[in-house]
Amino acid sequence: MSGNQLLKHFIRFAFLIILQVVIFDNIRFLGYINPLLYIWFILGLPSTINRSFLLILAFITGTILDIFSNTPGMYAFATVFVAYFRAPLLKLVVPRDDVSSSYEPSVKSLGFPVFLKYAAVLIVLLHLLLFTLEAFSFVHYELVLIKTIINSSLTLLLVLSLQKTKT
Amino acid sequence: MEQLLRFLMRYGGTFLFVILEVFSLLIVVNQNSFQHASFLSSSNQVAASVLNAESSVTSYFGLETTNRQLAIENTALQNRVALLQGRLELLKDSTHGDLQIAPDQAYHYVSAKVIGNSINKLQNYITLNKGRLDGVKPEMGVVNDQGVVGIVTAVSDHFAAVMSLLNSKSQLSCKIKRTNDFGRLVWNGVDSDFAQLLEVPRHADVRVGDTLITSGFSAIFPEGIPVGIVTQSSRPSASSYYDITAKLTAQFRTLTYVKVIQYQNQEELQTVQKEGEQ
Repeated sequence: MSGNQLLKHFIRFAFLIILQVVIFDNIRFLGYINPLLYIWFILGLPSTINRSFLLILAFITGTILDIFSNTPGMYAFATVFVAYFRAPLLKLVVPRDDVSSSYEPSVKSLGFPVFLKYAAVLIVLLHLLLFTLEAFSFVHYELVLIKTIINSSLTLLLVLSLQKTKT
Repeated sequence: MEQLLRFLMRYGGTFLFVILEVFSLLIVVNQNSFQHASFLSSSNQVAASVLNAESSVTSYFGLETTNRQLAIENTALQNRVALLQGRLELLKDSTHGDLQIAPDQAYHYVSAKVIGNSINKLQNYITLNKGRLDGVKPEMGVVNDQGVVGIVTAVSDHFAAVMSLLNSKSQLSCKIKRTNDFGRLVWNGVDSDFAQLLEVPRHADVRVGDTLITSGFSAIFPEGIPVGIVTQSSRPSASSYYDITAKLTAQFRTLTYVKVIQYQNQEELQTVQKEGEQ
């Protein structure tokens, strides 16, 4: 990563975490609106990033959010999980001839349909994991599914709309 | 050695992945033992300072409501003082002035500001701007003038994390004010205005509109603090208990100021209860 890129990702990291803890973890409307926009940080990191480094970044991100929302281990688990399956998924959805060069997954670099596939899978996975861990039993499975559907859509929408204005 | 290095180069990512996931999962599974760890909660100095900065901005938006609530509470308290003063005078007259009233304040309240509050999770927590140095400790009750809010779980020097009643792990011993029937109040995670009262026996007489108050068993809340109003009660034929839903009196969406209850004899009561169980 060049210095410029590094700075961009760091700013995005700080901005998304503050947004997550100050706004998205504290929405007091209806009682189940909790989009997890912070994952955009993980989604947007360069494709050639060292795998172990990515996992550690994901773990740090998750732990910070766990501290803020008193959910020890939950955000960390879900974020590391998503980070691990990022590379195999990219290999799967991105056309072959693009694989060798480095790129940052976005609507601009991948095109809308490919990015949508990539982002949607990981975002749904993240919400499902986090809400299931939070429920910690299958008693609440209906609630977990509803929360996953609503909040995944919201997160995806937010990621896509932020892409249009900022790359 | 070379083989090990080659192995790590090839599978290092997966190896690290497994380690991190097992570690996180261990923390999730043992979360009860981490509950009082301040550095892992929102009472963590750094985390709470961020929340504090946010709330110092956003609290201006709710000033009018807060003011009105405080005025109402103030008036109620003044009325109470006037009433009690009247009674005291009456007692003094009837005992010809040699009345002794022992100082017996078992409960002490610490006022605190809510700087973090979620209702959109299954396990909701509240963060307060008072901590260990203000006398706040884990296991203390938190109320506002409307009713019970939650129980302190972790404290740092200046901040406290409170398990809200809106938490699937929260349990509160309650009773129905009119009949004195006891039950356990839990939250099923669905609606942030309503909680469920369990273990009220079938033979009890529960009606819609009954008030739920704290039972005073737990040494956390004094007896008689309002908790909720029964909105639904039924007796499913398969169960020996009532199915009761209650509207919580505290409004969690708009919490701004709360009071932490310090019960002077909490430790003594807990020791006695523990000894009694043995």
